[in-house]
Amino acid sequence: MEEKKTIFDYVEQVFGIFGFSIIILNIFCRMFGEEAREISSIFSMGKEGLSLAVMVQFFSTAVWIVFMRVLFFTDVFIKNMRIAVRSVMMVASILIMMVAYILIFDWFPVDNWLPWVMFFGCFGICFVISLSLSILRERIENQKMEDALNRLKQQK
Amino acid sequence: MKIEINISEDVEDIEITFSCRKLTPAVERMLATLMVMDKKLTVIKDDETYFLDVAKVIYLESVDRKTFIYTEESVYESSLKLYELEQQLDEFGFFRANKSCLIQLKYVKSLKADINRKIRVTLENGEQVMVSRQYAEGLKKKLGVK
Repeated sequence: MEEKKTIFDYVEQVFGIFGFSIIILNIFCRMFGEEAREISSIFSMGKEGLSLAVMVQFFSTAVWIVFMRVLFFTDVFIKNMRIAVRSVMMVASILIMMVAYILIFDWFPVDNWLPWVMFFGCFGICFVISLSLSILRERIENQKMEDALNRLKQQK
Repeated sequence: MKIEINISEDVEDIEITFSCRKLTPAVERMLATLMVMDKKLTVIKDDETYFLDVAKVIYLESVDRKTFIYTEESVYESSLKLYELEQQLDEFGFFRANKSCLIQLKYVKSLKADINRKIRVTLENGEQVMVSRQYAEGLKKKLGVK
């Protein structure tokens, strides 16, 4: 039977994303927290770890990502849209939120072009890789099904 | 109900005779079940009963507890429920697309993966039907890609 999603499935996704980002950020804190504490609010506690405020910010980011996934990658709200368009819309919505957080919470100096280039560069690379992989997987799956369908039709 | 079976060397082909006072829904259902074995569906259109060749059926749909049968030329109604037809039509290359639809594979033009592990089916007549996640795995197994 089709597995019905409950609120706990979404909570699990939120904590999955939140947990992963917190682990990565704590590693960054350990590696260059002291050097970055003056220029970034994320590393305000240096190598001691993340502040509660930063954790709340990343928790709300995880909630937003899961909500955007439900919005664009289920047919609860949007019934008919190509997967590539859904991916672009989802990434754009996350990007907008991240930029808003950078500006509001001073994640890095906004008047310096280098962090922006690095931010958009990292985001762009991740987006291109994940989109390419999902398109490739979709094409392979479609091709497999088309081939199998043609084989079945020829047999009959 | 009286059932009489006559086994004889002289009989060339299986012959079934229904004797009843009138054509009740129960008799119609029995008839419909037997006809499927002969690759025919007992269908109704404009109060007339037809024997429809299974090969002509593109898809079957259940709407408001009624079962509709779609061919290239027309739409018919069946007295059988979709789940009853599903069991009988499985060997003729039909698959369940979702809770309310059965499709004959030979009328499928293309298959495309969609979100949430669903499959979008485009039929030869241009109509599109979504295979729900629940039945997508079954279709893949039937196609031999799972």
